[in-house]
Amino acid sequence: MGIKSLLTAFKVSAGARLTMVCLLSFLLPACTVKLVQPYDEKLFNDTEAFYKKAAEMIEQGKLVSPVTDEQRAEIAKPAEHPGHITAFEPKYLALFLDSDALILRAMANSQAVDSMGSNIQNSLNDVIDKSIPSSCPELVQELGKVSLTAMNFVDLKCTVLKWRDQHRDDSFTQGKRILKKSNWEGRKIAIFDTILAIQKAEGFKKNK
Amino acid sequence: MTTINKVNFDNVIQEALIAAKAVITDDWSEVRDIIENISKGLVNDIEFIAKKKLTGEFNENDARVYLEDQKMVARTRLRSLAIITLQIAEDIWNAIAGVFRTAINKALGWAII
Repeated sequence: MGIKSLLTAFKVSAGARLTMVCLLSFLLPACTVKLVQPYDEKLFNDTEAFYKKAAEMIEQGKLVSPVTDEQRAEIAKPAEHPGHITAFEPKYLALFLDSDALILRAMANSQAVDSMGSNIQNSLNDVIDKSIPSSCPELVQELGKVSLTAMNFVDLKCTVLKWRDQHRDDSFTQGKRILKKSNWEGRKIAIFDTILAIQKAEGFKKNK
Repeated sequence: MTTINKVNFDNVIQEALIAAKAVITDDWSEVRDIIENISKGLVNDIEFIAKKKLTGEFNENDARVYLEDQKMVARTRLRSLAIITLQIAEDIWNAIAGVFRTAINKALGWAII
């Protein structure tokens, strides 16, 4: 039975029927609106674990790295220095794997979002991409349209990819492939702020 | 005033508004926190770079790389603000829908929604 015939059956006035048709038309497709993906306890906890691992690497980097360009220039055998890229490659790799797992988890959990929510999220991602382009456009391109939550983890991986590139960069490290303590300090601020923003958004959904 | 089977829909609209307002009031502090974080973050970035430049710990390239990281942080902050705002929109929508669902089912005498 359609909405119109249903209302006719109730013999309600024309004005009231019009109101009801409007209300029903408005509400029927909206009964189970899902604009954002639901809270995921494992994703939340794994994000915290990622932060701890990244912070541990950063603290180690701060401990062993030179403070100024001059101090770095004095390092005679950079490959043997504890701040050299070779000592950190396994740590970057571990963070890549963890960020991949976070992306996968977030993508799998995004199925709960309805089509209206997906469209809105895609539009928002486009606006953000145009306003502040990603440092890893190829990574964004590769994954295509993903949820806002998943894109946060794509950007997290991008940040770590860029960190490794900088550490490997002869030009940036003045031929030593060793960062300075202040570079690690900057990274600590970035990762703290990133994880805080992610957890604020994901944690907000917890009691919904 | 539209009344169907003793259900006054003017009152229903008022109830829906109250339900929506309750969502906004409860969640505004979360939105404010993120906006404040964005604002304070920009000031902190400049302070950090200025301090590191003064102590000789940052050269121009270091500052550029630091800001590159912060650019990615800004993307995440904006996206997180969007997630929270969308969650609030979803809550408002569902709060309003809940009020109308009850009223319509009562007016029609059937649980069809």
